[in-house]
Amino acid sequence: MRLLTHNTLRNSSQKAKGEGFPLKITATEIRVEEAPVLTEDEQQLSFVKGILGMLDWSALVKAASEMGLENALPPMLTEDLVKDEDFLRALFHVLMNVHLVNGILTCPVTGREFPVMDGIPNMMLEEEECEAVRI
Amino acid sequence: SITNHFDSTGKGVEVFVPHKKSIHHCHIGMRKPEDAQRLITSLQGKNVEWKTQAGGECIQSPKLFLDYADITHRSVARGKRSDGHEVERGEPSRSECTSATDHITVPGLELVESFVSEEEENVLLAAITGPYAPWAPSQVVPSKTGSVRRRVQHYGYVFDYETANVLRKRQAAAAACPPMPKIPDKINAQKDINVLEQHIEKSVEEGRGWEALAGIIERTRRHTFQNNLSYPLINQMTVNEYRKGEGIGSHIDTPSAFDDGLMSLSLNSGIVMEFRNKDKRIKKLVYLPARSLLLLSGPARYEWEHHIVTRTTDTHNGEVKPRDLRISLTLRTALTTPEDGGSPMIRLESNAYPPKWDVTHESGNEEKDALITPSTEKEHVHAVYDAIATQWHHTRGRRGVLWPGATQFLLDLPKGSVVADVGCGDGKYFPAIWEAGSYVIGTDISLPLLKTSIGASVGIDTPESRQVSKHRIHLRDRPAVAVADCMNLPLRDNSVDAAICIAVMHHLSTHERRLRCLEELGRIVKPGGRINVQAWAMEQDADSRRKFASTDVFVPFNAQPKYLNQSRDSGGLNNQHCAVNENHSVAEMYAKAFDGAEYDERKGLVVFRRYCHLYRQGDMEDLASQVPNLRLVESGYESGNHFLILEVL
Repeated sequence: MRLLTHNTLRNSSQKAKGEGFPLKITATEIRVEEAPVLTEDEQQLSFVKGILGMLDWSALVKAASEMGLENALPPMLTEDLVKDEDFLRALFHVLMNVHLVNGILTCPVTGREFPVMDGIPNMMLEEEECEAVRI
Repeated sequence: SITNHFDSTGKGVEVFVPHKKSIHHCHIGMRKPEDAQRLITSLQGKNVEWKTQAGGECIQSPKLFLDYADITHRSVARGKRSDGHEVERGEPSRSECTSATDHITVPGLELVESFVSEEEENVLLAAITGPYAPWAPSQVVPSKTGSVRRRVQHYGYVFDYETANVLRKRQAAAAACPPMPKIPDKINAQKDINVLEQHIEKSVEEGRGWEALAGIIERTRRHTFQNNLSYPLINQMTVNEYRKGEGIGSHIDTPSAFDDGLMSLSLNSGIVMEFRNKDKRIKKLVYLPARSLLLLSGPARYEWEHHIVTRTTDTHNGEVKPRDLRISLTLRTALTTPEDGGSPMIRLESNAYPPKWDVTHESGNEEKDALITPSTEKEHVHAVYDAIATQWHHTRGRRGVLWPGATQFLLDLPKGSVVADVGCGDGKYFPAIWEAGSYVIGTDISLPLLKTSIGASVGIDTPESRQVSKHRIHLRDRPAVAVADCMNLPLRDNSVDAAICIAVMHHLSTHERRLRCLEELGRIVKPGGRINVQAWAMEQDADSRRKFASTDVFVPFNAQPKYLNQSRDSGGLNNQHCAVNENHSVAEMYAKAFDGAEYDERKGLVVFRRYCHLYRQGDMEDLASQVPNLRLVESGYESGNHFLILEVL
């Protein structure tokens, strides 16, 4: 599970009331894999620029430090940073190359734990945890 | 299966086992003398193990002693008709030709051929053997070779095979069953038969099987048989499923249970029924073709026993007719007990479809919470995909056929989009999304399927649609996937730019769940973002000529045991203990573990039944219109699917 993926995930149980985000990461196995950078610089940059708008920045910063990347990201995203190509490349690395292979994701509101195994988070809820029919 | 090896005609071999508990000998009917000789030569003096056709008992034989009897002469002589027509040589004599009893008449017996049309038959079968069929708890039905577990359904009143009587006190749990299917009152009020027939035709056209069934029952009530007989008070129906080779023991329907006038509609396959008048030791063989209605009245109902022999073929007018699965609908008028006057029981009917028991025999929760996963989906969607995951990926996934419309939708997205692929399966659409410069997060309820999306191997034969350029190999090796239920997506509100949901909506079995899926898609996609939904259409050609017979059906999947073994190891059937590695043992194990799965012994396949809800023209648009924050951009039909493109407001 990459940090980009983690940025979208939440606990959707009824108890969490839509606030089950960001999930706290407890990592037992992390893998850092380098994506080839050479000829693909242009594409990577445009990709990162494209997804910037969707990111929850503070959640990303917190998750990065939980994955062992303390101070890898600035606390705030500024206009200058967005134009800085070196920053964007570093951001690409953080978003795309740092994988949680095994670990646990914990809901900040309810404490509900979701396992991550072989990079796949299991977000299945029990029937009782789900929202009943809105009458 | 041992004897099939010697059958050179391919018409099948008949094995007759005397109906005693201890089996000392049996007759094997081959169609050609040479086949019989070869069988004897090969098996003489050997030990053999085989199963009886219907009972499934395994017989381990001691050394076999085989003797050849040329019985064809006898069958020819008996099969000769008054017009000199000769019965085909080599027919086993036990499968007597109906023409042998052409000269016998059973008073009160009438056969109405083509009582239902082929279209009507298809639609009726789709309902009666479909996902909502109200099968009774497994009945043990007496037959000549002992008792057999047969699937039955009862409507109106339960018929109890043990006491051979109707259960009249419906409060008891054992007497619970759905009411008789009913046609709308305003149609029924019209005496003109054309009004009824038009209603039936419309029901058939729209694939409304239960409504068509109600119409056919009413057609039977209004039918005038010979001698001006008619039975308007029919209030009970039993559906019997006769698998190939199954029969039913000789009997007369309990006189105190049912009034005169018993009718039986045969669907899907014909069969020969034997009638025996015990007093006079006379026998009559009648071939009941598929779609025919049989009437037993007067002596036929009260004085002649009827039964169906346990065997796989029948002989009618000199022609050997192999049996297929036969569904019989028996329509009767249940009576009160003689002490209570023996008048017809009150008709209990309802037009709530699909038919339900009065007392829910599932947990009451399913009534209160319409979003709870129904058992139909657990057994006929989730469990099946878990089991077939490997084969699915190797065949459909690897073949790489992507729907053009869905692919274009993905290519049209702006670069750097984050796309949710809800129900992503083996990640078929991932490469298209990556090559378009976007990022995909796939969710699916099946972990085995998700696992096949990882590091999808690339070889010379990998189709273009699944190939990934080298700088995206890191995506292919670690796709972003999560196990999740589309009813509760684990994604934040407005967290993705777009979403696709391909081949998911047709596996959702209730209106509420289908609506919920669309609502979830609308929640996770940001305003202005787009959603592509695609699901199976009822109309399978662009010009609607080929159609599924009903909106809710079981669609078979032929699973090969070699793949099932692999699925098992990756979590397909975790709890089953399997010590044997042979393919057919795996197949049998799966067939037993899955409700409704069949083991096709000859092909060595397990045929799973997947639940599918099919969409008619306009159904998906209707559904989307009920979600306030979704706007319809485009809808259409592509390769047997209806699709929608929606925009989030």
